[in-house]
Amino acid sequence: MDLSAALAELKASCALAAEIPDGLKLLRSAANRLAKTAKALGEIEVARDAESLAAQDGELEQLLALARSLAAGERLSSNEADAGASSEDDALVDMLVQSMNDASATAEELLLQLEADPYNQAHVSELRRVVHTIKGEAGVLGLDAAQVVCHEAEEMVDRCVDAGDIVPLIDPMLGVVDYLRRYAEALRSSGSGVASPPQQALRKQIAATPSAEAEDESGASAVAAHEVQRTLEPAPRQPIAASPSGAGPDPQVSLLADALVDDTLQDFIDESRQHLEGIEADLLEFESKPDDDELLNRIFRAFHTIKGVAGFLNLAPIVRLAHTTETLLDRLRQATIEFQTVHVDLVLTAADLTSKMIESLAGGEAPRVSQLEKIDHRLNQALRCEPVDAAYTLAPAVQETLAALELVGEHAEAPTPARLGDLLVAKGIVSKSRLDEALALQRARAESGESMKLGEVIVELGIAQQRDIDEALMMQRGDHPVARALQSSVDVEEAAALATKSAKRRAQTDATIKVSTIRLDALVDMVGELVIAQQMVLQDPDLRTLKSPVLARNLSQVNKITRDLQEASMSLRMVTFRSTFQKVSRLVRDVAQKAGKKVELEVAGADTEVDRNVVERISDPLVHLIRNAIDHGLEPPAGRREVGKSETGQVDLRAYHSSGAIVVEVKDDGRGLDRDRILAKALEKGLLPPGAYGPDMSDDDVFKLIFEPGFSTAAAVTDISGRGVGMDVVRKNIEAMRGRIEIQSRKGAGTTFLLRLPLTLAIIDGMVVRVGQQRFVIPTLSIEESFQPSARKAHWSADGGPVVDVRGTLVPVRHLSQIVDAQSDTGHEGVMVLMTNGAERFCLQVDEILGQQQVVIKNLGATMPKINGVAGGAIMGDGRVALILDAEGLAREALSAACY
Amino acid sequence: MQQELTRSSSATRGGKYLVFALDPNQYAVPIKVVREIIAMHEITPLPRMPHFVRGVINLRGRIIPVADLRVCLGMSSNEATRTSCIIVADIECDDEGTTTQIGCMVDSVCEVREIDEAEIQTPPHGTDGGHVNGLVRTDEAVFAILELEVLLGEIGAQARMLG
Repeated sequence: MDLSAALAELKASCALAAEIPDGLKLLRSAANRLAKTAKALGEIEVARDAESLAAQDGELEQLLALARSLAAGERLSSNEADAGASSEDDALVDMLVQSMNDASATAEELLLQLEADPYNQAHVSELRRVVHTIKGEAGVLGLDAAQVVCHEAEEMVDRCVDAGDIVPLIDPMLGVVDYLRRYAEALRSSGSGVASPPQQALRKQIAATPSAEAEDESGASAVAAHEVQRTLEPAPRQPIAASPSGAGPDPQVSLLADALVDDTLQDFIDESRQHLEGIEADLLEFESKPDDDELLNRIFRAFHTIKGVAGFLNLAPIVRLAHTTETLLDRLRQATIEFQTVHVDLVLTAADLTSKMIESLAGGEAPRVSQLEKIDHRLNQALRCEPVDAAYTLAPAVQETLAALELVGEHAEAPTPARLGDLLVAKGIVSKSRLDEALALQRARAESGESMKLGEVIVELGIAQQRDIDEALMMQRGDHPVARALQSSVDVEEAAALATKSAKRRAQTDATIKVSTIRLDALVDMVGELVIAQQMVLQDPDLRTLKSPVLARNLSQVNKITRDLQEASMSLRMVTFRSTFQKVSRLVRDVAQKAGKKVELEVAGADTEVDRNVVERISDPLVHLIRNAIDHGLEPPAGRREVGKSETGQVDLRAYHSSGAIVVEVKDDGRGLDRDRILAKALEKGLLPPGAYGPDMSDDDVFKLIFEPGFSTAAAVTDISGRGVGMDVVRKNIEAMRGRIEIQSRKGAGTTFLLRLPLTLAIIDGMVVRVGQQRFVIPTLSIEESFQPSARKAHWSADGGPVVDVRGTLVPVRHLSQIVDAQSDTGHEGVMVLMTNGAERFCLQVDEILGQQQVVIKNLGATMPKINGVAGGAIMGDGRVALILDAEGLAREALSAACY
Repeated sequence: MQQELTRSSSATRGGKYLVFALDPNQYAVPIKVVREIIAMHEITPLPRMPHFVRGVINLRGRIIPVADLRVCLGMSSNEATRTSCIIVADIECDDEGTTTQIGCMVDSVCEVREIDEAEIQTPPHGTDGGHVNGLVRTDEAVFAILELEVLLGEIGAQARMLG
């Protein structure tokens, strides 16, 4: 194919050009060939770019970028060439890292789904697109290694699709995902200069997939040539978006066709809205302070960032417009173009159009292609009145539009009339379409040899009045403040329309903002304090003596607002389980492969929301539970066949809300826990509780033994039908979150672990109880019910401890006063609170239940040792501290200690 | 009664000291470890803690433990009186210099006193296991300068062992 040959030649020339001055000549001829080929393919703008580059000693990076953009619809810049832009790219690095991580997660998820369903075409193409996007993003920042890896991965996907077999690509693709994660991590910690993690082995693996086609991909020496060729192949599939060459009716700019639609896009929309708002404000300020370089820099950076991210997302029209605008700003910055008021209008119009395009991503109406062409045209007119600087390289987008101008044949036209037109449009005196009419007429007249000023044409056509033209001309001459004043006096309606528009835009920017978690946590803490303080006021004894209905009403209003505020602030920290579950999906695959088992993971409720601290801390326990479920819980395929189960083991991971708590459920259909073996093991390790006699112990008690610290250290963990590795860690983590674990297991039928977790770690719902003079808070999560004891129900068990009959079950009773060294004033008459700690239940007798209340958990000071049965302290409405009890520790304390 | 005291930064043993009473004796601590002196708060007792831990109080939204200095120094505990108060001390709780606050319940606070290096006598060897940093003799009384960090550090360790 001609194009591929031209590209190969181009690449070689570029390499040469870098070394020898003569190389430039080669480069030029290569560019010419590229242009020819591109023309043949119908890629008009690229052809023109190449031509103009050839005409003016274009630099190799530009040319290469152009070649790549022709081939892949990508705008890539070379690493070395962009050193100058690197400071602006720091923000981009962050974004790249974020989106690399997101994309890796998406790719991983897709791969896992593909493994289960290899014929899902939608997933394959989605996967391809994700990889393609990362490639583009890596290109923007010049991460060549990552780009090459993605490239090859993309090709591998194609090869596998062609071969009709997706399965072989899954392992190498997961390798790619891991590689990208590592790279993203390195970037995050060390910035854009960091070297790529090792990727040679991975690339070999990619090249060898699928194995049949390995030979033509693995030759290391041919890599460079291959790269060019490969870049080239997707060309027919990826035409440059929004090609302005289309004739006929004026279509809307199409952005979404090539864009990656996911969270990154949403982020981009939100961020761009902010940038654009900033641009608008800065521009208006800049207009009155044209010497303020910082303002100009800020505007420049904003466009640059938009361009960068739009590049990630393959939003070519936005990239193009932002780039041209940026070029203009850059020249203003470097003072190669003298500042004129019209520049502000130009940039404002560009910002508006960019904004429109971005809004179209969010469902708004896209601007017309002609509008884009026009602003491009105008920006270029502004650019062209600069003193030509030979050392300066025109960027492709500028070239494109320059070329487009040549196509129309109006390059000789003086810039002034157009700028007048811009002014008129920007000031809302004439519409763009009417201006075009005028320009067309002017052009027609000019061709027939009759020279007319645009203003005259406009007046002649009756589009605007002479007065408006005069004002605009006045502005053009630079005395804009007066003109603006005049303008605003005649254009009240227009101003009102503008104001509505900007208000509308402001409303749209409310979608999301980024807030640091530190500030968020501080806010939540402060709201917690507010709740306490408000409670203090509310419960002030002096208040009760005031019998003012107004005060009471106001107070209850404050109360309600405080509660709403608290709820709202808590909701800010809520995140979903999605990313955690994602990790688990990957883990399942890896562990299953290692253990030689077939596992199907079913995930439900990944969108369940919970405090982000909980999500962070559930990760480790989940990993342990899942690993155990697969490694120890599930039988090997042969074993499963023998007992009549399907070879593929089933592991379910679920998250759901249940009575004010979050439940995370890990369930396998393996062999289940074997109580006899657990007991034997516990006996051997000396882990049986004193006085316990194995055969008498309930299943729950036996299963709980696996959480004992010593239980897991044994080498023989795997012989026990179950769990062992790190189960004490699991319990510790869950308890640290004031959660609890329940185990349900049936021999041969599988095991279910239920992790019951609080919605948030900062605040708990508690029942306030009283013993003597002291108050305690019992987390509602561990309370099953409370009831008044009656003589009929109270018993004494054989070993002398009191028990109570709760609907037929005898439950041990302990008086809280005995656990917390307090004086009880009701003794055995006190209220019973039935506590549950997993399957273990016991009754806590207290003097009185004072009420239910949310409390903020506080620790008892850094130097205080952990007190068994006490989770922390809460500051109550009267300013005093009440201890928050912890059911698990309480149970251990209550049932082990000889309380009676 | 609540009174923020400026902290002096004297490297030597001389400087400003807060003198307080654990009847019938008087003690002093360098003013720089004292964050504030507060009136007696309602103290929430903690279960299964050694006797010298009176419990915890709410110090403007933070919960801090309160030690009974009498018990710390081997005396019998006193009921809180009208003059009793809590000295909130900044104690280093690890090697990185992070400080935490601990309340020290005392019978009464006497004065802030400038003490010269020369006035401080080294305690006879073997008394009080390192938490007495020196003795000061004045016209009215003799008082011991306490090293709160050492004293509370010791009891903290004990508490941890018991806990």
